[in-house]
Amino acid sequence: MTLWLRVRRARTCVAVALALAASLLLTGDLALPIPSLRVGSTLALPFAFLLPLAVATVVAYALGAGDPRAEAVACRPMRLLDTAYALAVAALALGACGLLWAADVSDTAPAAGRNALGYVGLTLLGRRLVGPHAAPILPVGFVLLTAMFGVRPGVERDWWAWPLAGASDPVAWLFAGAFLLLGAAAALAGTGADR
Amino acid sequence: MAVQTILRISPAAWLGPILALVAMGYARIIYPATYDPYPLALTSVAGWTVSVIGPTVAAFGAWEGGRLHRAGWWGLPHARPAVVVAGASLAPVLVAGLGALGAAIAIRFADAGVLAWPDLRVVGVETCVVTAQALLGFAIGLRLRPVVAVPAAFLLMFTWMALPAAILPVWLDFPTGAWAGCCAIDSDLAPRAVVSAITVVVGFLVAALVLLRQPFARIQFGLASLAAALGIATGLWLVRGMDSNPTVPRDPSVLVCAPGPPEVCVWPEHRSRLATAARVVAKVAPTWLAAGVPLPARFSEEWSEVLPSSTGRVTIRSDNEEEIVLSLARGVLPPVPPCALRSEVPYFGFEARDYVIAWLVDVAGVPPDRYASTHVNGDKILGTVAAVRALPPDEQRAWLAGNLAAMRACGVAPPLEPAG
Repeated sequence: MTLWLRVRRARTCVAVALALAASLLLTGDLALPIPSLRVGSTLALPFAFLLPLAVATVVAYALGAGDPRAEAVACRPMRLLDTAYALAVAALALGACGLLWAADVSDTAPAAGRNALGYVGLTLLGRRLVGPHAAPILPVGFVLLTAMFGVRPGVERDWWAWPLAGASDPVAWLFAGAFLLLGAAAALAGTGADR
Repeated sequence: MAVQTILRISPAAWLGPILALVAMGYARIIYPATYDPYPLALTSVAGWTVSVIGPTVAAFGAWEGGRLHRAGWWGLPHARPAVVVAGASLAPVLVAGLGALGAAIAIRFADAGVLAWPDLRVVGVETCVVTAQALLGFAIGLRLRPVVAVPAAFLLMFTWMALPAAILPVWLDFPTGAWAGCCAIDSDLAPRAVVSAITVVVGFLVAALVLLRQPFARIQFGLASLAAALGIATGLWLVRGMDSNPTVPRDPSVLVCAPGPPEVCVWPEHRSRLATAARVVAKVAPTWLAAGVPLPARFSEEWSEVLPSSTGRVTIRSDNEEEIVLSLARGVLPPVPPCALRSEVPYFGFEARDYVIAWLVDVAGVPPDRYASTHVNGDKILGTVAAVRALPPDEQRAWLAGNLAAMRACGVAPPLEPAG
């Protein structure tokens, strides 16, 4: 397992999950202007909602770091281990954000942690849908899509634009959790072609 | 690379039309620095879309670079020169990026109903920005796995383009090359901003070339980051301390003028209103002179900070004669003295301006409520103006002189209410 953890870049993944928390402290309430085409203006997208994309990217990187042909004939349940590994990294990111929230030093941390769950789920889905090399494009593209089209005049945001929701929105947590479970299911049900 | 192959394998070819649509949508929603048909302002507003186009082409470039990374092609001996292969890979990316930029500019000009060439300086800089980001993305893709390179290239470039716009001071944004604040009709693009953006482009290009160099060693990541950081730092140094927009006064030699006295000069975009403005000036100038108003030798739309004292600043926003009278009334007033912006001595001139403008408008034969009704204390202004207008001409002149004196200097109280 030591070798497997090394191949899966465990140190890098832990560092990125913790760096997410550190970055949240540094960036605070910083928001980046992004076109919101339905509002007809620019939307101030909290940087905290983008930062968890790093966690999703490093998970995709780690899962694709092994030798697919050798792992295809391994006696250990690689698919299960990989899925558990992705969930663990997402949970670590959520935990790190949760600590910030508990310490009352970051208001956006819970939402960032929630988004980390959803983005990792989308990445796992992406591995099935568009292949391991392009998997992180799914969460990145989804965030852009929600920023550009998820907000309408007179409506704070559409129901499906969960990455833009505040931490207190239960539906957004539901979406993020559902995407994580869906991604995990897709990863477990993989045929091997996605490795 | 055959077009058929590009269409089959290149995400830039698949997503290019979507990028163009997004760029067009974005170009239409940004508030311009002016609603005048000023080609520079229209080009700059459309050029702001590089903040989305640049990161997207960087991601496309990273994907194309990733193709060569996976094949291990870059480090192998090859018959075709590296630049030819990189060029062939980047061609669809650049077509997608520059096509989106062109579409954004075209839709903005079409919306404004302007048939003119876009400003070539802005187009040139935006082209360089898109090209540099595509090449840097390609280089990142060549050295990192696509799974990391594509999101990293996008997020790094997006952060570079968007982050400076989100923090102060405002000039941090100028080296990105996205200049939505350029330019009001009396202003031009600041050469410092252009040089600054080109410096960052050079930094990115050097970073890309460092990454592309064979044989590859890890230190090249450090050197490339250093090159990009140096480019950004130099770009920021070049624009440090600039005002809220990357602008300088526009060249007054392009003004079109109608003879006076007083002469009236407008920017070429307002040429169609010049005859009306000249007619209005010819009508109101004798009336104001007879009422004792000191008229400037010239009314001009030039940037107010560079105007000589003999020139009154006007803005001819429309053909409406009442609006032109109102603008001329503003142009008659003395400029705000520098001491007004400091706090040592109180300046009362701002308050006096409203009363004098309403009086000038009334003297010119336009109902003063057209001006005063837009003010919170409009009724008070109207009452005062009516009282002043009821005075004999000499007393009106004295009232005007007192108020003009309060506008020219600090610490002088204006006689807002007529004596007696």
